[in-house]
Amino acid sequence: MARAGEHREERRERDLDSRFRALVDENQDAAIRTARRLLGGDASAEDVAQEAFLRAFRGLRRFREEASLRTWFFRILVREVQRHKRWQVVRRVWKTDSLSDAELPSRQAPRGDVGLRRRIGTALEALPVRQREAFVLVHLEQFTTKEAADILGVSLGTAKTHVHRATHALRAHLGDLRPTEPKESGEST
Amino acid sequence: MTDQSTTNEDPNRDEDSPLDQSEDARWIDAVRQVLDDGERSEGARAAFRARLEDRIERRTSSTWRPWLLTASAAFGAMVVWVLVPGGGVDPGNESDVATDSAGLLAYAYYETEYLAVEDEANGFLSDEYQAIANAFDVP
Repeated sequence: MARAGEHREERRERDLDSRFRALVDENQDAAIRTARRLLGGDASAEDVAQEAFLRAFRGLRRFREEASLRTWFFRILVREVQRHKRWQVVRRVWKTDSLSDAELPSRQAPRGDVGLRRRIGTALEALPVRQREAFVLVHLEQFTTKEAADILGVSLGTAKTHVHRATHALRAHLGDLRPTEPKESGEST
Repeated sequence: MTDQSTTNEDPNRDEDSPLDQSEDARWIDAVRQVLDDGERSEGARAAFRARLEDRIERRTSSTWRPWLLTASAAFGAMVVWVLVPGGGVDPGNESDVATDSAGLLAYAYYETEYLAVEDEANGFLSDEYQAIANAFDVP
């Protein structure tokens, strides 16, 4: 009887482990991207993504399947970004660099037009937090507005409003951006 | 924990013409193109996984760590409170809840509660955590 219970527990542990690995494999790129965009290109995006995965690992056992696992994880990620930004205040007071930043792995050099990326980053930074989060989730990470609302813990109408206002505010600053036509050689920019 | 208080919907939101919407879509494509980081290499992914496994191992191998963190953060906050009059924090920062040294103390308490409670399943926070967040006007 006790052995059956142990087997069940072992199986559950294995299931959780494989579920977590799948979560990491399927979402690590998007998590780092999202963190980077929400942090305004902050170099600690990978670190923040790692913290979010760690929290997901700890919470997975209690996950109640009330949302999709991906939505649940991104909710944790957005909170982790908020937490990181708040702690930046404390780090600024003490003029310390994040220890974890120092141990970051090699980071990719930004591609394309660095000046333009910086302009977009600055415009995103200037948005109110909720608008920035909604815009990044819906337009850059292509979550549905409903999923973004779940992640942000707001109503669907509020999420739509945030996205709409963010888009208009950003277009006011970056209205000159135009998509580049794909080159004939098939290279992407 | 849906945020109903800030619903504040824009009555003009649905009045965009289809032309506006398609222009928005083209403009968003342009933003995506500029921000495109390209594919991360398999090596970078593997390194991320390895670092994560190491972090999980270090951070979950003992049960006393949250309590140590709580104690050390509370001590650190007291030092800040005593040594940094005013805290030297930018009060204009929207995410800056610690606008003075007392705020830093309160904030450190809030953060350590967050670590100690860790009730993040489904992203719902405990009542206790929420009460602290509300008390210090943390978003």
